[in-house]
Amino acid sequence: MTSDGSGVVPIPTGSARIAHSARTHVGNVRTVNEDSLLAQPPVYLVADGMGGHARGDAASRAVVEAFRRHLDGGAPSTPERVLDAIHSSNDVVRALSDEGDEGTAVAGTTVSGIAMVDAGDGRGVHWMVFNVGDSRVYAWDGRRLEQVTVDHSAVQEMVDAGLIRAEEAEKHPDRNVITRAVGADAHVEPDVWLIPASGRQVFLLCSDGLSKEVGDVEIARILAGHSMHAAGLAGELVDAALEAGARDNVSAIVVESDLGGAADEDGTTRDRGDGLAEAVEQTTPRGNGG
Amino acid sequence: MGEYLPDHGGRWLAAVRGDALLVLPAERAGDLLELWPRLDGDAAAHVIDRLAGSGITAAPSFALVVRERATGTARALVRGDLRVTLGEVEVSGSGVSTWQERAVDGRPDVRVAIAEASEGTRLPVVEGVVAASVVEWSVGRDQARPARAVAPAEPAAEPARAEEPDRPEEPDRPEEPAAETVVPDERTMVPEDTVVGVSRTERPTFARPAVERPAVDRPAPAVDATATAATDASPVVPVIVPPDFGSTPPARDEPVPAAASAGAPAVLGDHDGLTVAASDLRRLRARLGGAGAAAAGGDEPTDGGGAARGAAASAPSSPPLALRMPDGSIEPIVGELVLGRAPAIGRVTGTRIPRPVVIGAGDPDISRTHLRVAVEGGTVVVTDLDSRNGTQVVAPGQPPLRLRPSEATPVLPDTVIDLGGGWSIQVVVR
Repeated sequence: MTSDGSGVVPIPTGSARIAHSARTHVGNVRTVNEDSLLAQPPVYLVADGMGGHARGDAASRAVVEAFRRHLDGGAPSTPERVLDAIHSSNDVVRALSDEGDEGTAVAGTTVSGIAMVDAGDGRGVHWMVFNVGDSRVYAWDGRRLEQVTVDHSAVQEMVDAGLIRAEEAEKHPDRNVITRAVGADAHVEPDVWLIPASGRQVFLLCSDGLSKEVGDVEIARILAGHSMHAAGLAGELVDAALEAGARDNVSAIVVESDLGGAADEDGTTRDRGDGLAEAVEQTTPRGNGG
Repeated sequence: MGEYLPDHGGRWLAAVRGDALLVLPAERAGDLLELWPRLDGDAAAHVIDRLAGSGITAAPSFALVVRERATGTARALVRGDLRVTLGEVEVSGSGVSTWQERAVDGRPDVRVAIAEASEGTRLPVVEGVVAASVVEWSVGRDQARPARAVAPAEPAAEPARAEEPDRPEEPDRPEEPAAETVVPDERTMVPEDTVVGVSRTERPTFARPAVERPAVDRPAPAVDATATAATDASPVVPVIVPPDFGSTPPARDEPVPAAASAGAPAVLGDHDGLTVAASDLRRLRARLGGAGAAAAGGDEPTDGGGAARGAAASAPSSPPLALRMPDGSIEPIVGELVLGRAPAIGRVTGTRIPRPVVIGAGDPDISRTHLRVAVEGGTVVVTDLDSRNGTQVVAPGQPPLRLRPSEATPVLPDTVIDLGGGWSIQVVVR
């Protein structure tokens, strides 16, 4: 499935033009595509139904449906409503588990996405990034690819704890073990980020079928090759995963938003004295002291 | 309760006071004297200000260990060849041009190896300054007692004190239980919540003792025998649980040690370096007249449905604590606020998302994400989020105090918070 589109979203300071390309593919090995996508400006998400679980595809579709029900297209939402959509998704996916004949079978899915929200001060909008599981949201500024979300995976926890290095995580036998999922528990705990929306911003949302087959360097190369034009980028990324083997379902959405003005119309913070470079985007885990 | 091996050369001085242990070369006794009254408060800030004030290269070797009364977390700052052991974690400043800093959860035993450990008799020290070559400081034994003003250091006062053999090389330590690697699963892997700017040094480690240490290894007074058996999650110290919260513990967005989040929500202690004594809290609450009740409203657990979550933003109990913004508007402190020129919210988990509040838009003096403000336990707590130019707080009648980056600092009503560039806000009671 491929879809490209764009929309104009009214915001307090004018309007945001948002273009996206989205593609999901069953891959070269699997017979069922358990990934689902939502691209309904200004809400975008990928959900990866858990492999080997009953109704993984139904679970990821249920998340998309829950978001459609909770969030209107065409206008910024609020953080509360996005959270409601996630919690509602959890309830729906849990219901899927309960109504089955398979007894202990449990449906589950990841969800990673972005939604434009008005966080309440009425002076600007934010991109709310949310994540449960090991699908990912990256930010691309034209030069650097930055992973915004932190995987809820066993290997990520081991990396954070300093037990293994990031490179080892890719080969680790537990690399497919996720520690949080929609539908896994009575209460889901999403991670959330709020990134000020300004200027021109590009986000990549993908399932692990992309990030495990195509490295960050290659992803950045593909994104750079199109000089920040969203059209067709998701297709090109998925094609790269297919060439690399695509042992899992592969999904990608590339979102480009343009609020007018420079990417950082506020300029950078002026140094009054000493200080640290500020981290706008990501709270990276600081090693255990040191 | 500490023990030390006297250093007859008198080259090093170890000061024990309250929740802080500071080791300095004897020739810096002047600094020690200056720092002594300040060890009770924000010891780390004062020590660094004092010792590194005239340049880091001029700073002497030192070791500072501060334990957080509520959580038992021990934090060590070490410069030079001193070796500090926090439980099983060793911290040394050797090979580092500045200093090393580590924090270890779970009431680790503290040992500072200063010089070659010589033979000798270990002596107790409760509070005071001693010339020492080794200091051992068991955390969590005597915290329930109020700190004494003087250092009587009388072993007789400690009942059932085990005769401690000389053990310069710590023969008992290697027998400590091997760290167990916790197999990740849904329960143990419940990751700690993270708030932007809050130190990640408090994140739980995977290695933890499999079993309690044998009691014989601990020269603990008998009176603390029950406390010794306490696990990390059941604090020895009285944990401050504001009565207004009722039976349900408030949901916390702060990082919580994994052990606590797994099964002991009772640990509501201080995660941010803020330690408030229960009596202070009561006094403050009485002064604020119901601020605590409002905080309870703001901090209410959000395990309910979407309606409850939505309602949290418009707290029905109208919190009296607020910020007066530069334009004169009043910004109620409900939940958590993040202020800046274009504030971003880092990874947060759960149902309560900090509210971004724009201040100083367009002024490059202000960082995009500059300051966090929240009400915790009825007190306003401000945290500079590693802003480029820093934040000063001016309490009424007090000199300005520059916030240490990422360190939560409680402030009283009427305090002015200066973000620089002429942008000031004030904590007010509405």
